[in-house]
Amino acid sequence: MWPLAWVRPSDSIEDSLPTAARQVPRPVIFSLFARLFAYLKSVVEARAPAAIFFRAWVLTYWKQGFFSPISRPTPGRSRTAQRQTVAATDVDAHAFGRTSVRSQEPGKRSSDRLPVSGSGFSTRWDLGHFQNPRRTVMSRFKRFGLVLIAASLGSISAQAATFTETDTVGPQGTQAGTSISNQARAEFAINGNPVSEFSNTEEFLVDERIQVDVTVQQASVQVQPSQTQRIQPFLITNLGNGQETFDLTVLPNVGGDDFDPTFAANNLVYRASGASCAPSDIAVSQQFNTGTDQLDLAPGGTILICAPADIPGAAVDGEVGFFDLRADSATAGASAASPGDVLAGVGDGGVDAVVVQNFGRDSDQGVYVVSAVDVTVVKSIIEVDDGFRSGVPNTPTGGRFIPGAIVTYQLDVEVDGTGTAQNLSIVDDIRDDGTDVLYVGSSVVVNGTGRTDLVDADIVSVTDVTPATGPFAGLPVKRITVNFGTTSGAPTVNHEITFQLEVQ
Amino acid sequence: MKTIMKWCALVLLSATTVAMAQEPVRLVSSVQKVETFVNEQGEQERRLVAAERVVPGEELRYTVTFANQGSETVDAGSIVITNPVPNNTIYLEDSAGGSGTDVVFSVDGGELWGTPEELVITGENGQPRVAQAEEYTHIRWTFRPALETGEESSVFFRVRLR
Repeated sequence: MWPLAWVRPSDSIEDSLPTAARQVPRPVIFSLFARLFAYLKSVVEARAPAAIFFRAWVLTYWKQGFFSPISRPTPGRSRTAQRQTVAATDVDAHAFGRTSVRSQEPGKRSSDRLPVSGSGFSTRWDLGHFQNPRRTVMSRFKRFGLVLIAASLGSISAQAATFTETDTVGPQGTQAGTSISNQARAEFAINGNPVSEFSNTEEFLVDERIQVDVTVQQASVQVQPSQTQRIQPFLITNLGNGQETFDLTVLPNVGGDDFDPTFAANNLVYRASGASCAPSDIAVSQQFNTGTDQLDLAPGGTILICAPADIPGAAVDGEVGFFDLRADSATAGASAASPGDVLAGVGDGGVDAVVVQNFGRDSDQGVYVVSAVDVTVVKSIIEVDDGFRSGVPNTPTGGRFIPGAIVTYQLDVEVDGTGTAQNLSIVDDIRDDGTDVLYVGSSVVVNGTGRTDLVDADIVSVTDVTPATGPFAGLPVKRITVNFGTTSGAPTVNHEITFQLEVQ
Repeated sequence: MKTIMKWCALVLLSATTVAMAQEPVRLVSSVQKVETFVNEQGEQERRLVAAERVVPGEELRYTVTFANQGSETVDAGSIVITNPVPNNTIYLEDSAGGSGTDVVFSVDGGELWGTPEELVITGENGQPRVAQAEEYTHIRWTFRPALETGEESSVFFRVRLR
């Protein structure tokens, strides 16, 4: 985006001069000066090609004594001369040293800055400046200055924010707009007499490469149904060699998934304040409205964007939801470009821009995976031993629930699903007030291994508790606790717990 | 004031005349972009195009032509052409040449010169090593033959834009 270029302090007239013109030794300066004079001379004599326009200007000013330091332009001169005057005053407007430049139409007050005293001549020597798009825009700026100021005020009231890079991956090659110059030197001898010469200075400007990278920072984010603001981090990198502005777009309705993550109105995303996305980044101060806000990244500049989405309650374990985050170059014409397309004059400093990617954009996909976990517990009586018979109750071999009978209970625990149950423990309270039943000490068996009742490193403990709630609220109970710890449901896990009670 | 202007004009005019008289050899530098494209046979080919729309990573070919437009022969072996590796570019190995020339390089801004094998710099571990092409700062050609009146020759090299 070239408009950013002309507010950069380093972007001076000197920068656009060939490097050699600033560094060459003195004889070369004489030589350049000589050539300049020869050129001007040829212009006046109309010998040089493509000089008719310039000639009119030179002659007009020559006649008016413009090149004399004390003269000033006078109203009523030719239209051609007027236009050139505007270009010349750009030297001042460019540095924003003076805002008094107004219309240069005949009969109106003109700027007093025109004759830059004796140096006025030297600021005009490079004809190439007259073709610089930057200057054309500056001229327009002055002509339609009020309109532009009004327009910019309008955009301020829209409160669009611009986010700049928070980190960098380093330069992406030579900065767009850089002048690459070359000058060869020859030394030779004629009849033994040494001679030294320089070539012309060959110069071109580096064009801008528009290239952006969007990379999701987490392969997938595990979520549960109905969760809100689950963050997917994306790193946006300007891989171009120029300052570039990008729009961000959230696309929640991409295909190939089971559900659509939902975003807040305006598809809000957030700028990370640190090296990773934290829940505290989802704050108004970090907010990026994808409808109005823009990124403005230096070459190699990166910014970490946190995209928070809500997960629908209907989503079930194993389902996936996709969305895309896309960064589009905001340079005019980039959105319609194919790889390699050239956008004339819209690069930094008015150079051309070469679009690397289709439509001048890149995107990456955020993936949400629902990882719910189900824990089921089935309780059953597997054996009653009444002293006469021992077996499944209510069968011919099963015992009867007579006082003194030993009843064996079994808890079948199943953990299933792609999620993980944190700190899974199974608790069963046995009434312990001397009525109905009595817990048989140290009868707990987990997956075939007998366990003690002690509260120790062992996964089983049996404690005396009086629960405040539940069916035995206010009554003393023996509380059996089996602690399985954090348990993943994939693959499915099954546990078998048995314990015994004595019928009172 | 007019007197000063006339005086300046006189000085400039005489400078021009002197410069013209001192330039029996015309030295011209030009640059082109080396473009890789796929031809009709589907093969990759390279061609030279105008140095427009140059972005980082692209290859450029510089040509320096020298022509004797004076009235006297330039001495054999006396023409030495020196060209810095242009700013923001890296010299591409074995790309410098020109008929009838010997080429040497410099890695220290033109102080010392040598062939690629002779150019040694101190590596990061403090040990001397042969310089890489991308470390060259200057290229120098010595044209062996004499250059007769009206004759023209050229030297060239290629670089990659950083």
